[in-house]
Amino acid sequence: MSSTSTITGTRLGFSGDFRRRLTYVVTFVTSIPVSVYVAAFILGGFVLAALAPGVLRTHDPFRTDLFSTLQAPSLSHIFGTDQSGRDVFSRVVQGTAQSMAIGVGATTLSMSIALTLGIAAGLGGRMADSLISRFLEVMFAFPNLFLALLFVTIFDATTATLIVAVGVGTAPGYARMIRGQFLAVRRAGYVEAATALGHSWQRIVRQHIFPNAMRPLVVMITLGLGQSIVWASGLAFLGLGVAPPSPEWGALLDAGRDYVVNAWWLEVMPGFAIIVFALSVTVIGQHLQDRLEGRFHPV
Amino acid sequence: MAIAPFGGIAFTVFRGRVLSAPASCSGATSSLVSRQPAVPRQRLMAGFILAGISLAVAPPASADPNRGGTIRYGHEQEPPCLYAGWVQAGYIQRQYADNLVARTHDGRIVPWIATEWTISDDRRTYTFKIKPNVKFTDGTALDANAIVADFNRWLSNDPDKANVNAKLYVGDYISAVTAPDPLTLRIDLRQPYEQLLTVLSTYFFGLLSPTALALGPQATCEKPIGSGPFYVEKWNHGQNVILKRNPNYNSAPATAKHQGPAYVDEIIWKFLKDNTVRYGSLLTDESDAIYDVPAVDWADANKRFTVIRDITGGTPTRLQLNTAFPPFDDVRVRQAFAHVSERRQAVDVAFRGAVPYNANGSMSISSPERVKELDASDPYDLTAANRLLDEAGWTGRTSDGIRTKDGKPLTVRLLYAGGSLISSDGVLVLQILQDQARAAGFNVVLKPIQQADWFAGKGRGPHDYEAQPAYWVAAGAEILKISWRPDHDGFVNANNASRFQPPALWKLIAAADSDFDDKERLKLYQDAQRLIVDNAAVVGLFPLTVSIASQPKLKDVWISGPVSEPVFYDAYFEK
Repeated sequence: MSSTSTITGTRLGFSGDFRRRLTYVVTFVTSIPVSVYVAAFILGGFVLAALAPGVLRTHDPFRTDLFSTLQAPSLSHIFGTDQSGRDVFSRVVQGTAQSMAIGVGATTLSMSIALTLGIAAGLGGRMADSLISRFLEVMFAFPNLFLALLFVTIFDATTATLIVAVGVGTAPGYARMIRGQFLAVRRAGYVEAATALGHSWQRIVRQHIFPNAMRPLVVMITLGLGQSIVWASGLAFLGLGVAPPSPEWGALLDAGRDYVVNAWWLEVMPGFAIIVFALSVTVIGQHLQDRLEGRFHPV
Repeated sequence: MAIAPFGGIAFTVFRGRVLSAPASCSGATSSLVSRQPAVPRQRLMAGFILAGISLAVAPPASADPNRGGTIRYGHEQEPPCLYAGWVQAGYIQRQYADNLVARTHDGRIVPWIATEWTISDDRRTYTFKIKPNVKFTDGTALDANAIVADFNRWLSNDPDKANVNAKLYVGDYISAVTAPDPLTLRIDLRQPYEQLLTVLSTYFFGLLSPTALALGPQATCEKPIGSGPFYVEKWNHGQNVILKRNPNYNSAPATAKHQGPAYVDEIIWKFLKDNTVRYGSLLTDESDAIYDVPAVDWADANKRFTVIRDITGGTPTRLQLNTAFPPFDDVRVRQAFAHVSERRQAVDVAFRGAVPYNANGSMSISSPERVKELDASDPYDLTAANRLLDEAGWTGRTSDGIRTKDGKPLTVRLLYAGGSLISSDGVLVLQILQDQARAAGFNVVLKPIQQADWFAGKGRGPHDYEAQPAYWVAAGAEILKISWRPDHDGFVNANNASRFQPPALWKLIAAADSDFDDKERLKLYQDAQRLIVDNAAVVGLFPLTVSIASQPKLKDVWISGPVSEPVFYDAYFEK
């Protein structure tokens, strides 16, 4: 950002200005690692699959074909077929929306809970910090998966339940990170300087603490997306996922586990989708982290 | 010796054991996806029945079996209690408890704890002679007095004492159980009950020590004390049950191959719910035997291991259609639902030859009273299904093709206990039906329920479902009483999920249960089946089929009647 302000602040002729801007754009574009482009491209594919699955899928994902069961990947079924002859590729594509909804929903929920608790603990004073920290420690006493399992067991296993289960299960970890971030920023030199200059507390929070403390959250959100999908898939694999014939990725893994020796594609293909999606958001997230923390200088 | 072919895999049925024949894996696979089944349906059915019946008598024991060793057995389901209730408990109970009588697969009642018995001319008094010198493993004598104590407990009005299932079967009939002397037991009935000996042979009536029973239901569940060839050493919840050999065992049934103590020292009854893990434990020699060979491994198991199989009687897994409320309060909609899917093909594909199709939802194909012509009932007929639905007024359509009537979509909420009462292969059958039913305009919504919730009745109220798949194991037609008894005097028959209870049906069943004449009784039972199937109160899918795969070194494991319990009493390891 500082480079941009330097360029715009310089008086140059049109051609020189254009050349400099072009050079900046080219340098910026070429300096971004190829892996980020690949990740963005793949993520774009997943978004397309979620928003318009009909564009990508090759068969009806719910149509059984009892004469084409357990066929290995081929040109007619690039991911093979499942136990009832359904096209696995089309089911993976169709399941993208549900899986991403769980990822986005659970991450949003967990971040909302974590922000509320983390900010209250970080900025609310010693008493609030103590109470919330003890509460988080109690939550940590239970394995995250246990909390999620408990939730899904009590309520019916639906997409909404999975979102809440994963969101609640992962929130304590994020809350502790946010609390730590706010505490660290609150004690930073520039906050002390602002205090010494007589700025109001609201202004300090708004202008200094909040922006600096929130910056790493962008990265956490991207990482959380992939993690939530993996979590939901894990619950589905344990038989606590959404009901069949849902092609949610975890449900696909669960449905295929009896066939892992005889029909590897039933596990590998949905697993591959989960891994690629999680890797893509992670790569983009790490790149954003580098940029926001100043470790990445395109120009 | 006979050849029992099914699904392209040929099995040599040799005195109760289904051994693998030289059938290639690829051959088996191709037949599963073939549009023209290689084996006529009648022969398939005959093969299955033969396989079941042939297990009636255990094969002869080796002259000098090896003694000692531990059988590591991988079972699928862990019951909530080790006594009575669910058949999964019955399988364990068969190892540690004895019954008054035993039943062979061909329906003969043979001695067990009772060495002989007489029935009065009016069929209301049964007098049993009890085997002498039998003791429970806690030292309590197993005599007529102990059996009287068991009956009094089973039929008690105290829910902490009563054996609910035992009471369901005989509670209405038994007026008194007495012990004229320690080796004579007398059962008096209010009215004749011709199924009495059959039900006494089931695990619901496994004899337990009255001394141990007095410790309360929790102790009975956790560590029941019987008089069987093994005793429960410890139940490690979530892992296994350790069963130790009873060194004083002297009360084997007439169906057993030897008398005296069991050959092996111990059974580790492991709970391996995951199909891949369970079968994998056999492949890696971490188990000596496993229950329920996964469908996908069926052909492989028959090549590598000794595989035995038995089709359990009673009711098969069938869809119970809720006749109390729309849309299934209209018989035409029920009949349409029965016609709408290729159930036989769905079962064949899902189970890959391991489990047969059972069209007659009222009776298992292995039950001797089944109506043979109902084996082909309600075939796939989309035209008929559409016609019936049109006649029933379901003529509207939503944008995605679901039929409507008065603005309401034709939705069927199908509740099931997935991975529990319905295996993963069974769930696949439901998914196929779900897809096929859509062609006629049904919107089938699959709603899985956790095992604990299922048994607790959570979410299974009369308004919570339109269909429920379930089975109830039994030897045969005695199950009709359990399934179809109408509600009365505050009694609500929770086992009748169809809520189908016309007086004519109960009249047939009640008359059959008390009828002396074998032919007339059979006719009444079969008329009842026809009434149930004609009204499409249930839609048959597949029977509970017990298969045991064991390492070749483990000999003489067999499957008992009447409800297909694995028996390790005669088993031994080859020297």
